[in-house]
Amino acid sequence: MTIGTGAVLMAIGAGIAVGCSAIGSGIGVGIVGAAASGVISERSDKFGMALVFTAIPQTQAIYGLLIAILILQSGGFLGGTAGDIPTPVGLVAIAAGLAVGLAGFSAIGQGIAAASGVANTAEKPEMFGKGVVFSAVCETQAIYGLLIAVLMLALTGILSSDFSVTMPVAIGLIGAGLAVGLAGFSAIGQGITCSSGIAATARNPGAIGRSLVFAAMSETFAIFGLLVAILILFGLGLFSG
Amino acid sequence: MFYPARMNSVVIGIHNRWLMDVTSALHEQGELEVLDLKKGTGTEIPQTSFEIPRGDIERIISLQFRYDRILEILEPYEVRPEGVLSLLFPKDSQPLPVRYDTPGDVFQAAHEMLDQAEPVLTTYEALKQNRELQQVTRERIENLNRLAVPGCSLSYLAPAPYTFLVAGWILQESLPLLEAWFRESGTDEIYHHMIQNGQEIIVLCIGTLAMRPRLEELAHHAWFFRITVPDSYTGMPGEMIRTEQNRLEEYMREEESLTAHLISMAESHLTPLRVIREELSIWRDRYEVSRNFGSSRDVIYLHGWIREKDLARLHDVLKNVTGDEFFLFSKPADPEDDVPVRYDNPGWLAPFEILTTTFSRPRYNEIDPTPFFAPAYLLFFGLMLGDAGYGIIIALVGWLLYRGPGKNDAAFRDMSYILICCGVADIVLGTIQGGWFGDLLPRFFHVTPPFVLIEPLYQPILLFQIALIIGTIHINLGILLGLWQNIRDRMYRTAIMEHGVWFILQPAAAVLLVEFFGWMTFSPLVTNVAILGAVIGLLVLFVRNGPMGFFSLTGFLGDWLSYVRILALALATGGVAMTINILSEMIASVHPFMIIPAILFCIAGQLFNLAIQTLGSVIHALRLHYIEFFGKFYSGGGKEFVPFHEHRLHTSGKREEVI
Repeated sequence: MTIGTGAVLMAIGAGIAVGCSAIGSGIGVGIVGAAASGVISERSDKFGMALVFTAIPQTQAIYGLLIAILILQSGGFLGGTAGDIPTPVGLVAIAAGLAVGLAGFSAIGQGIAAASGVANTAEKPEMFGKGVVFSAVCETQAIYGLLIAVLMLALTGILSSDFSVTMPVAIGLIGAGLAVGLAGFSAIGQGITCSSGIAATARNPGAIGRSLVFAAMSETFAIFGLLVAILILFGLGLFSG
Repeated sequence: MFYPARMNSVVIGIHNRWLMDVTSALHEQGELEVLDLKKGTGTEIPQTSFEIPRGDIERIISLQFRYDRILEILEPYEVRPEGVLSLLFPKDSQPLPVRYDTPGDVFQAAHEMLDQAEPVLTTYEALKQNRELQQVTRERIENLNRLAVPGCSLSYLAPAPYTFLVAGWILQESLPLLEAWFRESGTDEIYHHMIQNGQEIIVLCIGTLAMRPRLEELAHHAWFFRITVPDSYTGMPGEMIRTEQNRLEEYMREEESLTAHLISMAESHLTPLRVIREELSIWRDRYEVSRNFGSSRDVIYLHGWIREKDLARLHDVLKNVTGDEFFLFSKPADPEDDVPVRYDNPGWLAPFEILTTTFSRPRYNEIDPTPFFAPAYLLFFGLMLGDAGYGIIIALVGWLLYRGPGKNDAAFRDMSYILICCGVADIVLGTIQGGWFGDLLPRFFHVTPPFVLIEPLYQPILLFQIALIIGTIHINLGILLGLWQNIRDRMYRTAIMEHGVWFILQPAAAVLLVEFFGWMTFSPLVTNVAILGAVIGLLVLFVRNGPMGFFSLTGFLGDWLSYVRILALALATGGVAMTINILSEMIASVHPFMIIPAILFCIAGQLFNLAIQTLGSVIHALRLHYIEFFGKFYSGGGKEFVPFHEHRLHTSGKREEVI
């Protein structure tokens, strides 16, 4: 069995998807985990609450894993039948990997927000719901990354093992992946805002609405990335069927 | 149910001989929030404070303290069923049909019960003393064991006419300190003998009586642990060790007997003690609430809030207690006042109020979003989790919690109810997505799941479109509610410029985008109207918000695209579950013996996926409401309605049940 360049590139795409998003999630979980350890050293009864917050930034790694599995399954890796796959298909996989992998760094922002959530909920248990919601705000960037990755794989036909995508389209999609993936880093700023938003809401519960508005402003830049990615997909003719 | 309950402000006047009867009746009724009359009523009612009877309050506090002490002693000895099953299926603990109509009845019952429970204190003191003696005996046995190492006769430790002996032990690391002490003592009249005993060193020091102060100084060092035995101890340590061990066994038997006595008293006394403790709390609340009352020579005045629909019942209660010796003034709440908020939802919807409150309680004159929240929340949760197998587990867990801990805890009951609803929603929406633990059915059992309408992993574009359609409907519902709220508040300008404008901008933008992407073509008239609509909409937006109007646009777009998370989470659930199934299949294919590890891996993996994806679905369904939906019409910030009502857990307090 001949392994083509496309299959090799698909493997790299799967690696980027799961690797980058795992780095993001790892750092995010590390940040909130450190805060959680501090909390339970004083209040061991808060372990369950701290565990929930620690789990929140893990989602990005799951999205990365999902795209990696979809790529590997489409390429026949899971059945041991990866063969002579055209190069453009591999490039699309790399584009999808970049989209979801880079956007996975949003977990860092989520970790910053969740750390604040752990600390404030330890003091005020009624802050649990609000802390979780503020932490969830920073996941939007990862969802945009996942969306564009899925759209790339679905609209090029790769998900259904149709490998007819052309080289110009595949190279263009790398631009889309970079657009949405790099814009995902805006979640770090958003995480900082959310962290302060949680503290503000803990002091003044009425501040939740306005704090969420501040937090949502950082999301604007992720929307720019998403829009550019969608326009690239559109420009490459993927929406016209 | 779309607004909080309508409230009335009330002022009540009663003849002062009815004070405790009316207070008790209102407490029992539990529908009136009592306000401090000194802060004003807006009427001509005199605002002289009411003097509460200090003697009774002090008596209650003193009794509560004594009951707390006894309960604190007995509760650790209560025999509780252990294990998960007992947590999920707790024994029914029906409240007892007990009530006391006067403080005198409670005091009498409280004192009678205290007399009965007096042995608890004496037994507990005996137990404490027993444990102290056990501790002393154990230490003594340890020291005798140490003295047995050098074979030192105990009579040597007794005072002698010419010599003074100090026995003790030090830790290995303290040896340099001891050696330094010997060097610094500057005398050769102290003989010492050291024997290694594990990590310790046994030290015997003897000198003439003149050396006694120096030797006692040694014994006072923190690193030197002196061994002393009663003067009556003689002979070799081994003999005394046996005596002490016999004594220790005797103490332990006594401890067992005392503990058994406490367990038996816990079984017989805890319930009546808790009942009386609860009654004392209730009567204390009744006395303390009267701090908020006002009084004139013969009349007691109360001021508070009550639901409009409870007014008639309040009137009946006052009439039943006082005959006609009362007056009741009421007026509908003015929304400008600080009116407390009580939800007004039917029973099946009420548990979801907790999710609204988590964000913020509605203000008095604001829409209560709970009726809109609940169905949309279940829809989003079901679509996001999208696995009927997981739905069954969630519903089952919810039911077990509802039947178990939910029986005695209202908050737990509400959460369990929500969990059951979420599970059912997931079963329905997971079935139409074909998710049964991912692709477990077709992969391992070659069964095609029934009733499948959409498969997220294979039709992501369709689910993407559905998510955006749902988002459009949800956001527009929010805008519509905001529009309605502003119109109701006669804020027409805000209604048009903040909410109405989106009903111009959205269709105009839709026409222009559809045309731009080439999905459809429209007549020039439609296009021109859309351009005009877009221009007018943008103008209104920027006139209203200034440069921040730009963020309104991106914010709206962001809110809309945010609903794509429905697709993302549905894909994640199905994708990860499929991955677990694929890996399980790979493990099982290695060797027939690997089937069992493969099954265990599959179960563990599916449980992990269930936990992590349920958490994600709960959080993101909440987020779509709190940020995208509430942001369009809801701010909250209402004050909670806190009625004056009895907190009964151990007693029913119902007159008709009391025998």
